[in-house]
Amino acid sequence: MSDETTPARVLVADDEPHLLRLVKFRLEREGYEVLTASDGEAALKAVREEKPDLCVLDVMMPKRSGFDVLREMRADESCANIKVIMLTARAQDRDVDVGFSLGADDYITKPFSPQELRVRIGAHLNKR
Amino acid sequence: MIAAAAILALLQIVAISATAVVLIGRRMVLTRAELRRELLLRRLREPVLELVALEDESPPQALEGLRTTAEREAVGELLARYAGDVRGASRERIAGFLADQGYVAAAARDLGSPQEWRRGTAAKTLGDFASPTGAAALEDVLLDEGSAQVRLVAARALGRIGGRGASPAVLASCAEGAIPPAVAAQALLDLGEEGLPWVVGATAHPSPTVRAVACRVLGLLGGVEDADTLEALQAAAVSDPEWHVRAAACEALGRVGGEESGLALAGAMVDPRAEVRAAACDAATRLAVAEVAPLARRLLDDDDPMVARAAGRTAAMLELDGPDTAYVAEGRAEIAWGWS
Repeated sequence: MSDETTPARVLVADDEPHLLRLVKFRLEREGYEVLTASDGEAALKAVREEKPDLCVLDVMMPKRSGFDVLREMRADESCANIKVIMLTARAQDRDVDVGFSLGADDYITKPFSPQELRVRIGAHLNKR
Repeated sequence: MIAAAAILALLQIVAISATAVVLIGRRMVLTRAELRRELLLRRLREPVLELVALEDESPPQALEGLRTTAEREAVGELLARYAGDVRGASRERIAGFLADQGYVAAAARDLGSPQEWRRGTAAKTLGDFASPTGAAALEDVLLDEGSAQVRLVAARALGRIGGRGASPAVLASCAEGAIPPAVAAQALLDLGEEGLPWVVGATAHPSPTVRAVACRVLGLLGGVEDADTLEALQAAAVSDPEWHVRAAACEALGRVGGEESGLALAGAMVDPRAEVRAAACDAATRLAVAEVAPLARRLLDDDDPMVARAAGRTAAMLELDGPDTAYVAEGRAEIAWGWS
């Protein structure tokens, strides 16, 4: 957990390197410590080992989907309370339903606004 | 004899060695070019990210006045990649920068190149740039370009950019047979709600191909809350002179309609063409429209097994009392297995 002196830690998981770079760049400029993962398994490992304050998860990733990662996080007591924002190209109502029913705190569809992502992350972290 | 064989062997060795030297040399040159390009991308990536992700008014200085072709190509490539991933102010900044710095004008100029591959690449690049200033040039390509391949690329690119004239240009190009219906449909879907009024209007287009495309697109794009869409589809389902348009309209109603589509579907269920009757039954099944129950019961005895089978699904969905035919049992099983 971060306090006023240590920056909040955000894990960003996406299999597209240029998108990962974009989100990381934006959040680092905002003062967050950013961890990255390029597949679902690496994301889950990072969540369990690093205990970030918030995760930004893509849905369609190799090895495990973002939904799988979210499901496992919510079932694991040690990381069940970590905030999760889904950031995905899957924009159908059904997908949004699945995301929220699995316990996502927010759902943003691609193409996305980096500014909106920053604002939403800030709002979720301030709620803690 | 032996001397000749030796000379031949020697010549072969020389030829193989020369080829190997050329290949290795070429690989080294390519590797160096790739390395230079990678270094360039690395140098330009940060200012590109600043332009895309930060909310600064003016573009980073490092991106302004780039002179070499390699630098401009690298920036164009990076920005084109991000233009598809972001929206809102970020996308506007990318589009504005590419237009102001002459990237869009350069790609638009290439649309007039005598080389087909260059015109195709230019059309794709304009789509990737997503700059509204590139849309007008692409609209012209849809109507005037001689190469079918370039027209396809331009239709897809226009779908990504959007703009006021995009939908009419795509529809006109489809009407002339310049782009296939499936490509037109995809471009119209990409244009989304922005193009909806034109697509609704296209259900009354003189070309049956365009009318069928319009119905299919409305089925994927329109919603039950959109009265114009429903009205257009209901009219097409019963009144269009072409059976494949009527069938497409029924299918679309099954996706976006509601109970108020019952009357139109009932009309389509007595259509002279079996394909339309079957499509109307399936739409009524999807929407669970109770008022078609008597017609569904009658169509269980339709001469065409495709229609009787579809009526079986409707009867099963509406849980009709009456003859429990094999088609009703089959329909019940299909629905239980998640028919949609």
